[in-house]
Amino acid sequence: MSAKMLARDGILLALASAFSFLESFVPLPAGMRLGLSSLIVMYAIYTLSTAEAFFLVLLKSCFVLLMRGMTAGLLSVSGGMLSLLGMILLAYLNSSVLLTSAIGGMLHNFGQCLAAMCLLRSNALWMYLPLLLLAGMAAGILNACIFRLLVSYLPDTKELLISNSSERMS
Amino acid sequence: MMRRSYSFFRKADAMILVALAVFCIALWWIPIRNQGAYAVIYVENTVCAEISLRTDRDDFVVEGADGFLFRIQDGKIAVVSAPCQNEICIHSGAIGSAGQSIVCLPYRLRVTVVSNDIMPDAVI
Repeated sequence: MSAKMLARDGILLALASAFSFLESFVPLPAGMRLGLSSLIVMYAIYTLSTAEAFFLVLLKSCFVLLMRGMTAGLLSVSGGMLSLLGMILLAYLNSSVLLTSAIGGMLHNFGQCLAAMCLLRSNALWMYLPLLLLAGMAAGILNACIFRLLVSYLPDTKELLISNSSERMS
Repeated sequence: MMRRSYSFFRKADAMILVALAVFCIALWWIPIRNQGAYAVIYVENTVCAEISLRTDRDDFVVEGADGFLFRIQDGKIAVVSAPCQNEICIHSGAIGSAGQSIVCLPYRLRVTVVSNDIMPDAVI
């Protein structure tokens, strides 16, 4: 691992943790969260490498494990990994950023719901899955819009999004 | 490093997302909302108590679910006080339809509403 990568991932991890701290001030019903740290994951997927994205998600989950305990850590790693796998696949298939983020949000909540059902050894949470998926989709769409604003300010992501005027047929 | 470009949004995406949303909403509404008769309180997946929802009860405790306070009002059960700081179970509000659940992961507590004739784990 190069020193540059180490420094970059350290900053990104700190930023992801700061985002999840900030979003805890946003009041949403039933423990839902905006998932702003997925902005970091999207940045990693689109401008860094797949390996680095995996590394960041894993580190973020370790951080949650240390700060908020075993249950939160397990939920974080299951949701994060499933969402990351889905988003990498969609990005590889050249899907649009908005769709990738929305599906990523849904997969995140799906993974968390599965992990929670394993922890509880009960299928009672199936009832909430549709609502969780909808919430994940909404959060994913919101994050995609924030991501679009962000990339126009970052120095190395200018060419990442195809502008509407020069949209290629695909 | 080779850099690809991505479009932000395509028209087909809207169709995919709307289809997924409609699917979720359908899944959400399809379960028949019949009034439950009992609340079953589980801790670590073992039954602590089965309580009728027909009679109102003010803040009460259940043996085995230490630190939690429950309330039954108008055929619905709610958690009014919990020992952990997340308090997600409290924010879940009152539930009264068969199959609905309140869940506290840190304490492995689950409150599930069941009707008379359906076994709790058969309700999905």
